[in-house]
Amino acid sequence: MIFLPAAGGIAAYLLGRVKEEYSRYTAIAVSLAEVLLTLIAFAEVASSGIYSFMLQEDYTWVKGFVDFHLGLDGLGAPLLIIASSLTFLAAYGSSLEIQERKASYYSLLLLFLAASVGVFTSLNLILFYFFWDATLLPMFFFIGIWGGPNRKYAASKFLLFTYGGSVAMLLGFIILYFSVPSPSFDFISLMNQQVQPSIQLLVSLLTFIGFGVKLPVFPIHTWLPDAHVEAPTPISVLLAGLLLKLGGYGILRFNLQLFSYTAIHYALFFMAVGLVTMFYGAIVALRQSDMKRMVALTSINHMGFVLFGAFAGIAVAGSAAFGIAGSIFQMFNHAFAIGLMFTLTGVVKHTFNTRDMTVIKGMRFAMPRASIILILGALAAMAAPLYSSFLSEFMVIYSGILYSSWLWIAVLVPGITAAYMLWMLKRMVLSERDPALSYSDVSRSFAFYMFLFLVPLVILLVAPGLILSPVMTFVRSVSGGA
Amino acid sequence: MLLIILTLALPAILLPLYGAVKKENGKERLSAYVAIASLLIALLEAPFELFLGPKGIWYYPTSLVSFDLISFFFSVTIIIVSLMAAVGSITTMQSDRNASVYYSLILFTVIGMILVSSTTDLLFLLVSWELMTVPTFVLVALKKRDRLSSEAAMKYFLAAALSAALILFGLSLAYGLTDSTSFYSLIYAFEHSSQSQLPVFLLTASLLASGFAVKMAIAPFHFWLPDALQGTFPQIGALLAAGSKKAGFAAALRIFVALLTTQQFIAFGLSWQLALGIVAAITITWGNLAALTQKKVSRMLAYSSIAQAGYITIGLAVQGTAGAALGIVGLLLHVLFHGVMKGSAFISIANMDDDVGLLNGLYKRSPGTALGFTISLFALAGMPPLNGFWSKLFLFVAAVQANMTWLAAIALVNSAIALAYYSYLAKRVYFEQPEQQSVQKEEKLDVLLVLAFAAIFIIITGLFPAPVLNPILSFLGL
Repeated sequence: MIFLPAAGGIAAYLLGRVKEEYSRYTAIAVSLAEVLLTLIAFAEVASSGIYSFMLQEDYTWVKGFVDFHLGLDGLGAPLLIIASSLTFLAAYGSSLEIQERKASYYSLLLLFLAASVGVFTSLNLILFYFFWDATLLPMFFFIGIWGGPNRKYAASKFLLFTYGGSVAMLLGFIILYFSVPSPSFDFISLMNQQVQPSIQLLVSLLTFIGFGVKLPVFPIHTWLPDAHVEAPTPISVLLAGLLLKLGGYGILRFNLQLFSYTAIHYALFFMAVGLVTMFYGAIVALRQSDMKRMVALTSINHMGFVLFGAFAGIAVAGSAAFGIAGSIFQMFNHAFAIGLMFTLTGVVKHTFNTRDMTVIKGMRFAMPRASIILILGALAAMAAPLYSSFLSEFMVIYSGILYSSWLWIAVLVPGITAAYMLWMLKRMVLSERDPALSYSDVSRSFAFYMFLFLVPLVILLVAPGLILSPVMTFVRSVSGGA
Repeated sequence: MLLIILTLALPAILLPLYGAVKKENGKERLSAYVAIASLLIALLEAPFELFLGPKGIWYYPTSLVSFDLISFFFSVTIIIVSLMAAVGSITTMQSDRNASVYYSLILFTVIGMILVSSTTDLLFLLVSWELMTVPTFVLVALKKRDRLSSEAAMKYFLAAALSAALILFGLSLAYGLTDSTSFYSLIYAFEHSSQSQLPVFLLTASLLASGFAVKMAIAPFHFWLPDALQGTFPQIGALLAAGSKKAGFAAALRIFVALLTTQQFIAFGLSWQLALGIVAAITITWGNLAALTQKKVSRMLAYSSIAQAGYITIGLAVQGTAGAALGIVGLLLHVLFHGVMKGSAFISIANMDDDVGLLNGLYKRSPGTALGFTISLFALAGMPPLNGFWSKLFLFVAAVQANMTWLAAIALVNSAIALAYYSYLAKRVYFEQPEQQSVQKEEKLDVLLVLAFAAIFIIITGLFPAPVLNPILSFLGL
């Protein structure tokens, strides 16, 4: 599964040297094949019904230290689907904006997918770190080469922030290695060993820095708005939909599952960080005029839910089914909802040559198809009950209330989100006709492409069990069968 | 051992003769091919020498040299780096009258480095040390009409003279103490010394250590390196930064680890590990911070190689503790990997401008050089999936195992600082648009060949480090 996109990446570059368009076709074909592979793997995990690492592969990599150990469980499986399908959508949607150096672009896209799949399946800490950092370089070049006017600053800021987080994480891993009775970097072996609470707390905090930068949590989030605003649209989709999920995955896998003692005893700290991040993202988004910056901040706000829900779920017995499951579900929903919003931002920028929400008027006259999709997408982002994002936010907030009744204030966050989303619609779509605008709608096929983002969200509202049943095996294992 | 030396020495002696007798110009390439061929043969011979020689990493015979795992690793590194330098200078030197001397000097300094990394005798060490150093004075000064080159050679000469003088003084003290010049008898005498002799032993050790440190460019003995590397050919810069700087580590590893882990010394109660750890931390931080502000690629790389010397020092600082074995793994690995990536980063300067500002948009002018250069930069930063990640990982793990978590933390923070200037260069190369005054430089094919080799080596050993690691691990019995 890792090998396919990695090999595809090299193939895409070589074919792209022959003819530029070939690299795009390769990227689409390979990522589509990867979607099928991940769906099969997901079905395998889902059908087992018990919690374990499935499809394990284990090769000696560096004798005695690092094994090439892969495996998949109820946490990794849904995220794998996000990885492959968003890469597919991004590759398909790239033709609009990516005009130069296509061969390099599409091959980096597939290499990025390979590294992300590696992160979601690694069962060895060093292997995990290896893939984790391997995602940075493609993203650095995506933003820096194909990005907007301020791209160089944004790319460097992104790289230095995330790498700074990574080294803290690596230090944590090395300390952990020596603080267990039989030193090992293997995840399963570490799960079965006891660590002193104080060391666990230290390691948990160090790794939290690494994951928190990517999630991102307040106050180490500042790279994100810059990176998003400068990144080209398909890369924003991947950045929000996939890269942030790497952070969420890391937090659930390590801070929650591996360092469970710290997770239970210091849950309040993590919840507080999550809550602050939620409010911060929502309130700052409220006063943006740049549509893309607003969407980027919505990402911060939504990812705060992931952190909040996960630790609310572990802190209260019995609420794990809501909190932890809700936070994984939230990652899944957010990936598609925000992916669509970023794509729409790209369309708006392409058509109006600006993303300033105070300037754009009367979209419903100029682009009726795009307007409908925008309304549908905004509803998904504000977690309207039309979509599964409603379910996941509800689950997270409910688990918060189970923890402490005053946490009802978390409800304000979707409220604020709905407020600014509706305000955006009012300003851009439902406003007076702008006489300067001529009819310039997106094509039917592109509207259909954008609609694809919403399909999973609608299906999962009706049948959330498709995702939640394997997720629940993970939840039960973490929360001790509650 | 003898085989390798002969393979290199014969052409080294014959090449200048050839250069003197040949009449017509334009035959300069031949000397390059001869030098490259002999280096390649020497590289192939190295494994045989290793398996014929004694097993284990520490071995103190009564002979002058011993070809063990340490010498093997350093020799292979040195030969690979000098191969890169030799191949990378074919085009640069093809119309130079002194080409045959140039290659002959490279071969001589390689012989010197191999001997330094395998000698077990102080006097022989000094002789090999000079054999390693003297040819490089000439190489640095080769552009004799260039002011910078002469200045570089002068500074380098003074620093090297200082280093040799320190070693010589240490050597004479050692001889006075032990009536012998071999490492083995020095360590033996130290183990059985009386309390009153200890200060003299300490003085001997610190004189030798300072002598090596100048060559290794460890803070505070690093000042000469950036000037020397800026003034000379990039190929020679590669040889100095990636090759001869390393030889000092081999000698230090061989003498000090055994000396400082003797019972006598432990009873003395000096925590030299802490001292070395602090030196390592200062060197890493100093090198990286200084590199941040440089305007020349060569100076930036020179400071980065000072920082990398600090990383290698971590491997020395953990000796005598629980992290000793992993420290050696990391040290040897980093010597080899860093040799290749620093070598390729330096040699790529031959295909571009040394000025950081003129790097803008390099990918358009010289795509091959840009790619090779960027790969070696990120390898130097220790980014996976490139090989620098593994050697640094082992050094960090060793530091934590030696209970020096603070050192690992400082080194890791420095990795992030270092990434700032490496990515700054990569940003110039890929993100900026070329400026008007940057001249189109032709990409030299030989340099591209070197870069391609280095890039493949960096990626392959990054993805599959086992082939390089397993021999070390099995020698250490891990």
